[in-house]
Amino acid sequence: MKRSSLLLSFSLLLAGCGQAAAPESDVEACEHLQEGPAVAVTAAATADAVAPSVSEPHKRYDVALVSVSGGKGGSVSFASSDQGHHVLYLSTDVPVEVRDGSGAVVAFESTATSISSCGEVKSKRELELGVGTYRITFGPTPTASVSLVMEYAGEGHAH
Amino acid sequence: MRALLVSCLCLAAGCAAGPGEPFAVLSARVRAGLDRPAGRDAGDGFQRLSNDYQVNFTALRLEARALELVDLGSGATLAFDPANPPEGYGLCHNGHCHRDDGALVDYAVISAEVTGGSGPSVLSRLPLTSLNVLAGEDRALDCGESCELPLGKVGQVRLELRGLTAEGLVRDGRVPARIPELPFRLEATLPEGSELSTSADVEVSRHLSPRVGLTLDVGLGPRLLDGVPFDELPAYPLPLDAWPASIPAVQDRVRLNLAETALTVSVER
Repeated sequence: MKRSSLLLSFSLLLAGCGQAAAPESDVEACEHLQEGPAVAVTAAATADAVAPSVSEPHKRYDVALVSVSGGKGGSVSFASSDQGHHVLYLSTDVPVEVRDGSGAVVAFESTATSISSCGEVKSKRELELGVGTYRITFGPTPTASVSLVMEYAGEGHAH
Repeated sequence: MRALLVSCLCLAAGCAAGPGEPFAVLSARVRAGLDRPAGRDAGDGFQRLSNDYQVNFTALRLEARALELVDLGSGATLAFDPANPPEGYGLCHNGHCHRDDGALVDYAVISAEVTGGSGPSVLSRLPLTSLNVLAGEDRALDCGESCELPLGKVGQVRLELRGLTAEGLVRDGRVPARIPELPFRLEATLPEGSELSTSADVEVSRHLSPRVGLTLDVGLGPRLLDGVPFDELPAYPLPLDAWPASIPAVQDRVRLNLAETALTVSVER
């Protein structure tokens, strides 16, 4: 009896040591990609057009891509109310570019094509944003649509 | 003889109120201010907004009606799914839903409607007027008989609102700028019954101190004017009072943002 308890404790200890907790933003993103609530938008085709907003938190945006040079693509806009670390999750690994209100490209700090929390995330990109509106441009890609969840991960780096 | 008996019983039980006295006496104050996080600082006194406009407030007043201390009754138990609210309500978060007429209604009120239960009851209502948020407000409330609290449990503190008035300068952070730097005056009027609320846990009983010191801190967030479509408003330049309250896009945006205002209650006994 004592031996089985000891074995069990040891097994739990081993299991606990090997698994780092998933970032909260990953868990949130999985929840929204799986369960929504979903909002359907159609991407703006050109840089001059008004891009639909994907700014409400705790929502999944299903973005219909439009015809652009080289395939499908288009833009949406994200109004950031918080300065700090943000994570962009996509259901499909498509080319993405983020620009600030003055047109400057925002560099991604890291990219990944999967996360441990769920299989729905095919692209995870981490970036620092200030308060302001950003234009997220997809494509060109053969994919006709992509689902997006943006998570604010705090003032500092979450990784 | 009966009074003596009650007094003796109270003494034995450790009760605080004597016969004929209220069970507790409230002293309340309200503090209000504007949160200015460093990430919003655009220099020269301006703050960044999420749509890249920048504002420099010269006046910011929250038009309040009253402060209420509420016993939630059966409404203390959530009786509906905020993700799927009853007909007439939508956009439920932070403890309240948006009613179809634009009012912010607390979960407890809706829960009581759904269950037909006793619902919340107001233990004390203290009249309030305009709060100067920009200068910072720290006001002791004169409540007279409303300071006398009956037996019950304050489960919620509500700040009933009339609206918001903001004045200042607005400019565009983008290049090229969408608008020149301009003065603005914005008046957002809220429907009757609009309120902000926060939970509290103040029991009023024979066994607890009869003095309740309650402070409500109102922190207007930096998001207050986020998303206000300054470029969609009538022709510029505008006189200070030319932005009518009837512009729906402005009204709706400010109401939504105002609903995110943080309330904090602290209690001393």
